[in-house]
Parts: sequence; C-alpha cells; structure tokens
Amino acid sequence: MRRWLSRSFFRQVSVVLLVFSVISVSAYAIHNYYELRRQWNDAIQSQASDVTNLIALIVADDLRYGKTFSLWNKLKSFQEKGEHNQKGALFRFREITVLDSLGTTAGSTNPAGHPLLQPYGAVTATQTDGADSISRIAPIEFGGEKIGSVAILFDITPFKKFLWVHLRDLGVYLFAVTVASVAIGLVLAGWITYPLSSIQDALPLMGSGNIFLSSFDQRQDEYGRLARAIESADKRIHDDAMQIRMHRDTLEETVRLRTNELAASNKELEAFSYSVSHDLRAPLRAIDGFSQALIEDYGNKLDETAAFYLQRVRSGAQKMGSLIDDLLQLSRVTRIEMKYAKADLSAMAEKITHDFMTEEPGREARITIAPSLIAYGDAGLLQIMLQNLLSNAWKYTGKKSPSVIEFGSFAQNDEQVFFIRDNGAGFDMRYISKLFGAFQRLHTEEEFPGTGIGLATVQRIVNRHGGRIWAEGKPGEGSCFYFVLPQAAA
Amino acid sequence: MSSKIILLVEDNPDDRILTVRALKQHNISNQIQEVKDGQEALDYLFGEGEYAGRDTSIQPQIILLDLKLPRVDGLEVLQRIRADSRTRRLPVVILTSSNEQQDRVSSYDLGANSYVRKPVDFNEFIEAARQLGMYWLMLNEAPDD
Ligand SMILES: Nc1ncnc2c1ncn2[C@@H]1O[C@H](COP(=O)(O)OP(=O)(O)OP(=O)(O)O)[C@@H](O)[C@H]1O
Ligand SMILES: [Mg+2]
Repeated sequence: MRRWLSRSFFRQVSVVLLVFSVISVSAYAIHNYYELRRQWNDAIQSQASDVTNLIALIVADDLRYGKTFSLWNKLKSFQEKGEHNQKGALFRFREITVLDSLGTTAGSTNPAGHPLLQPYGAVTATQTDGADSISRIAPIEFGGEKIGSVAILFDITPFKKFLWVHLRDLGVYLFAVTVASVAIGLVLAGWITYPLSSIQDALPLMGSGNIFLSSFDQRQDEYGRLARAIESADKRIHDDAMQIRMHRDTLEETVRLRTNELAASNKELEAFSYSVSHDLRAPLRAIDGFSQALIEDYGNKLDETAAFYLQRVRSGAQKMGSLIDDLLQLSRVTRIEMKYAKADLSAMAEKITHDFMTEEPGREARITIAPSLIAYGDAGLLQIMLQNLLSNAWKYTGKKSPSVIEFGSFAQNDEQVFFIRDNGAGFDMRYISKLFGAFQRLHTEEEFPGTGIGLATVQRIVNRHGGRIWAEGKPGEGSCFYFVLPQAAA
Repeated sequence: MSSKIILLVEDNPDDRILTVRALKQHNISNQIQEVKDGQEALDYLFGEGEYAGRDTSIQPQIILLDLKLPRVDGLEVLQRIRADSRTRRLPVVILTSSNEQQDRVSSYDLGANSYVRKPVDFNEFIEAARQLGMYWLMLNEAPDD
C-alpha cells in the first residue's frame, strides 16, 4: 500500500482506470459472446428440425400426387428464401437423403448445378451431429403410415465463421473502448492533477509574499478558490513575519542596550562594594586598633570612665564592621551567579547548629533536624539562607531553657514546605510586614543584638530561587519560618 | 642564606603602624622593611629606582602584601614576584580588608602562600599575625637560594 501511494496521483488514477476498463469491457464481451452463441445455436437447432419436417411433408405430397421430385425446385426456392433469412443464412444443405421405410435409400439428391448441395454419399438414420454439421431425420407419412424418412445434413460452417467474426469484432471493440476510456481517464486525471502541481510549485515560496497564481484568476472552481486562499495566506504570513521581524529587531536592540546598561551598573556596583569593603573598613580598623593600643599601652594612665569610653568606641567600630559585612553579603546575594544543583539542607543545618553548640557549650538546647531534606538550588546561597534562619532561631531562643529548635518539612499542594520552628521570643504578628525588610527589627538592641539584615538576605535568596517564604510568631512563645523552593527540572 | 627581613607592602599608614606594633608585641624582632605601594615594593625587591644598588641577593624572608595599592596593585606585584627567578620562592601572605571571593581566588592562582583578611577586631588581627609568625617566621625556614 505504501509503495502504491508513493506513485503520483496521476499514475494511481491511470492504473485504476486501465484495470477497471479492461475488466469491465472483457466481462461484457465474454458474456455477450456466450449469450449470442447460445441463442443462435438454439435457433439453428430448431430451424434445422423445422426445415427437415417441412421437406418430409413436401416429399409426402409429391408421392400423393404422383409428382416426382418437384422437390429440388422447392428446395432451391427454400434455399434462396433461407439466404434472405438472417438466421437461415448461417447454414447450408449439404446432403438430403430420402429413405424408404426399410431404411434403404429411395433417392439421393445431388442436383448438379446447385452449389449448395454437395454429394455426400449414403447417410444413415443414426447419423449424428459433427463439428461443423447438424443432421436431422423426419418421417414421411402417407395415409397415416410411415413409408420412409428424410435425412438432411446441414452444413453450419457459415455459423462458425459468423461466430468467429463476431468474436474478432468484440476484441476490436474491447481494445477500442479500453484505449478510449484510459485516454479519457488520463486526460481527466491530468486535468485534475496538473493545477495541483503548479500550486505545489508555488508553496515553497509561502511567506515570501511572492506567490501570484495568476493562471487561476479566472477560475471560480475549487482550484480558483484554493489558489486565492494560498495567495492571501502567503501575504498574511509575509506581513506577519515582517512585523515580527521588526518587533524582534527593536526588541533585540532594547535587550542589548539594557544588557549593556545592566552590565555597566553591575560593574559599578561591584567596584562600589569592593571599595566599601576595602576603604570603609580601613578607618574603622584604625579607630579600633588605636583604641586597643591605648587601652593596652596606656591603660595604667586612664581612669575607669576613660577606659569605658574607649571600650564603647571599640564596640561601635566593631558594630559598624559587621554592618558593612552584612550589607556586602546582601548585595552579593543579589549579584552572585547561581549554580543549580541538589543541596542537602539537613547536612548544612547539622553543621551550622553544631557550630552554635560548640560556641556556647553551656546552653541547654534541643535541636531536631529531619533527615535528608533535599532542595534544588545554589549551595552557597542556600547555606547563607539556613545560616541566617538558624542563627535567628538560636539567637531568639537564647533566654529560654531549654531552647527548642526544629527543622523539618511537610507536603502541601504538591509542594514540599520546609520550616524552622523555635520556642524563643517570638514576635507580634502586627509587625509581620516589617519582618523581611532590610534594617527592620522587631526587637531592641538591648533585648537581642542585630542589624536587621538577615531576613532581608534570606528573602532575596528565596526570591532568586523562585520560591516563597513566610512566617508565624507569638510573643513569648516562639516563631516558625516556612519556605518553599521550586523542585528540580520544574 | 636567609635574611630576617619582613617586607610590609601597605599604603595605609595606620595599618602600617598597627601591623608593626602587632608584630613587635608578639616578640617578632625581625627587621621590618616598610614600602608604601606596589612600585616601591618591586623597586626594593629588584634593586631598582630609589633602591638601585641594593644587594638583591638579600631578599626578605616573608612578604606581607596588601592588595589594593596605588600605582601597581598587589595582584600585579605578586605576579611579578612569581615571574622572577630571584623572588619566585618567597613566601607571600596577602593582607587585605577585601572580602571578595574573586580577590582570594586570583591571589591563590597567582601563587600567594596564605591569605589574611585584615580584621577590624584587633585581637583577631593579632591572632592572624601570630599565626603568620608561627608558621612563617619561627617554624619554617625559607628555602635557601
Ligand atoms: N526566630 C525568630 N524569633 C523571633 N523573632 C525573630 C526571629 N527571626 C527574626 N526575628 C525578628 O525579625 C527581625 C529581623 O530579623 P533579621 O534576621 O533580619 O535581623 P536580626 O537577626 O535582628 O539581625 P541580623 O542582621 O544580625 O540577622 C529580628 O530583629 C527579630 O525581631
Ligand atoms: Mg538575624
């Protein structure tokens, strides 16, 4: 079937037509031939019997009236009559024999000068039909008594010849009809398929705006409509493509400009934060360092208040140092290039909390971390995020004994929600909107020290991963921070 | 032959004073050669410019190198030290206030032996200097050349 369909439509139609017309025409011809032969054969058979009976009657008449064999003239006229008869012409008399009642030949005819009657010799009553002859016997009755019989041998070679000619004519007819129908079919198929190929030739130009099927302009038929539909589709696609190209070009230009701007401002930012970390720190280092030198080298010359003031100077400088660090981290978190990979949050949290406990070995704390909490994201950023969230939990449970901190997760709406819960100072939900803002704090410096940049950093990290973070808290009872990170390959 | 010179490359006078004080306080009695920028450091090491005629077979036992310096910056100084056969094997410790990962990576790439961020907390700084003294001045003998 596939091979068949791989031919052109034109060839498919031609082959179908050829096969169909050969089969139908030959079926008709074969049927026609056999039917004709059967009908005419029947007719010849019955006519032969009629003719034999008639001759038997004539012979009986002749006998009755004492005429001797006026038969020949009759026969002659009969023969002539037969020649005018369409069916009669299909056979000839070959031999007529008159037999007496004993079966001996009463007289045999072979009238000289008559071309149709050929000498045939003795014929017996039992003679049967041959390949090109039929024999008939009829009784001659006289006074109700059978006195003899007439035996006639008919020559049917004209009939055979007629059949053969008819068969030949049928063959010619079959051939002619086949040729004609195939020719007509091919012309028709060509008529249908030729416009298709000129339309097909135009299709590769689709979208160029250059398709003009002008030879179809006058046609109102399916082809005309198809050609016009293709022309207008071509124009529309061309116009759309032009528009899209224009949009794309301007878009590309805009993107290029913005990218350059962004790269420039990123570079500026980088230079800025570099000099912040380097230059802003130098004077602080001097303030802190020389205060320290004063305390150490001239401590004995300072009174207690002076020493206290110097201590305040130092802690101020140190506080500003950590502020600079936090600010830098906040900006780095935004700029850093992310490398996505699987990250084991449980392992990170274990390590972070382990460090807390070694720093404050005396503190009573119950820390539970669910095993194999896996997220997909930038390991460095996720580390900073956990560091901030867990250090908050650690810091704000500092006045509780024991501190209870839990890191786990649960499934909700096809998402894995991570949470870090503590039993610490908590916070008032009225101020929730300030929680994630930079430099926003819900506790005083005296209660809990801090700069208020940790959660702002956390939120930026979660945002950069395309995730969400939210929190719940109750003053004096504790708080819980929830976050969701998109799954891998999502 | 090993000298006992420490070359301190630092443009900030406060940091120079505090560094020298920290080293002294921790009983590091080596001669400390102070230079104010990268160009002067290179001149000193290779006996050029104002140090023309210096015996360059005598090289410092350790170089404390700031990264952000006027004229020739610290990374370039490091690169030149590592490119010259006379100074290739000198231990170089990067001293900087910069916290940028990029600086750390490039200074290790260029062959820094250690990296100490100048901490604001002076005690931390002393600890860093003490470790430097421990590892580079007291325990390790610089390879003879
Ligand atoms: N686990 C917590 N329990 C109670 N309050 C919290 C908790 N985490 C954060 N907060 C509140 O949110 C505020 C902002 O937190 P954030 O981490 O940004 O700043 P910080 O901890 O004060 O300072 P730092 O920048 O040093 O982290 C905190 O000041 C505190 O009031
Ligand atoms: Mg915090």
